[in-house]
Amino acid sequence: MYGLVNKAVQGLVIENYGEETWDQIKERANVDVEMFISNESYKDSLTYDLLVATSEIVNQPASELLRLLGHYWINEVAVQHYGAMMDAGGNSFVEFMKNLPNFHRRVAMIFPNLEPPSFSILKEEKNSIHLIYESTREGLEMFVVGILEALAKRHKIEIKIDQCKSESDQPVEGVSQRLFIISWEPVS
Amino acid sequence: MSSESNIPFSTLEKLFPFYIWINSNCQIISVGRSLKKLLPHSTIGINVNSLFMKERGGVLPIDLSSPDLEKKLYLLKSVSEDLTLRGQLIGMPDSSFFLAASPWVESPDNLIALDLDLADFAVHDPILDLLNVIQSERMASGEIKALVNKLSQQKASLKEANHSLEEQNRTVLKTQQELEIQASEARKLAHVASRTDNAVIITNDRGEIEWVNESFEKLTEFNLNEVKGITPGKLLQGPETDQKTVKTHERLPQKP
Ligand code: HEM
Repeated sequence: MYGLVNKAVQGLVIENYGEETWDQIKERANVDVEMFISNESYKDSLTYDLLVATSEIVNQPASELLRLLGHYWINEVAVQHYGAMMDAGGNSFVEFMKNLPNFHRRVAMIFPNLEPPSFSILKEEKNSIHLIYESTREGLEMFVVGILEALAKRHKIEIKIDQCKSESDQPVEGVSQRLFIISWEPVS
Repeated sequence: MSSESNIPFSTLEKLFPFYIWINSNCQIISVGRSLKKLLPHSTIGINVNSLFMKERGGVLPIDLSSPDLEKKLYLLKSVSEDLTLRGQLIGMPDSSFFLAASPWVESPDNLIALDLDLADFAVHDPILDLLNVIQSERMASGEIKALVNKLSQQKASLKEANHSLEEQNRTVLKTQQELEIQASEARKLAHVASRTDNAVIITNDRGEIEWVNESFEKLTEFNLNEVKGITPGKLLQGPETDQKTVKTHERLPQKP
């Protein structure tokens, strides 16, 4: 994954546990990188190794870390580096979610090695959407959940996320598909 | 009219939400939905040249009789808003003109300043991709700055480390010099002790002989090997030894 993702892991750890813990994590994960470069592509295994080492060292389940990483992704990384684009992404949660599929596509155009997830809205109702998440990677569902939670908070709604196993639970041509049903209370 | 030219106007509108459609007198017939947000004064019937001024290198006024009209890149700077449109004019079959334009944005912040969001742009519009490129360039140059900072910090701390190493080096050298001085003094003392006419005995802290000088050997006719490890009392006391002297010697401090 691109360095931006690893940088987010680093930022999250340092913010919550300090530099020393981060150095320990890098050592445990066997990652000898002084500084991640956002626009560089790194092996996926490096990111997973960092997450596993973090989980062991700070004694938190990986799923919870991914969720926190999702929050960090929106509240820090996206706002810091893509602030205006985030604001321009739509002035409501649903608007933003509708722009999301194109968003990664555009990012992928300028980063040739990017293997972005793809999102599509299957169904839109008044207070819910059915979001399909497709990825070549496994195990990042809680990252999506974290991002969605943080996005909703940014747009001042509280959402409930139900994760459904879709019919094709097995990856098809290396891509696995997940369905999220996102619902919220009507805003008065 | 051929079927190719029968593109419905609504299609053009969707493709160019910032368009300006003018008649052969440069009067505005209509503007796109997104441009309407930006130019509240762009009311129908107004001459388009009154809305814009010349941008650096731009072409204005729009001169519809210019022969290479369709080849020009138009840069139109709004007289009232902080907005520059870039676009291309094309003649329509009914001798009206269509300016296919997009706002020129140099940074994503411009979007916010103009109160535009992504949905105001046509999906195909490469301006959005340009913004992404700019965004990533910014991020990259921010990182280069951070790296440079880090390097200078490392350089500074290396310098500091070097400095304290030098200092340590200096103290080590100094101790070495001091040790050398002490050693040479000890050598001098040893020289004096071995050359004196008085008998000299050096004992350890248990009172056993470690070293004697030549005068001792001459005086007592014992050599060093014979007396090593023996206490001087044992060695030197004979039946004629004054017991008072023995007592005095016993009271002497044994430790060097
Ligand atoms: C400013 C906003 C965003 C930027 C710049 C961005 C960019 C990226 C980048 C660079 C990657 C790494 C992919 C790779 O290296 O191959 C990534 C992955 C990912 N992004 Fe985004 N993204 C943004 C917003 C979002 C949002 C709003 C979601 C919504 C849920 C999302 C979901 C994900 C997920 C789940 C991954 C993990 C990779 C995978 O599942 O295959 N991102 N994104």
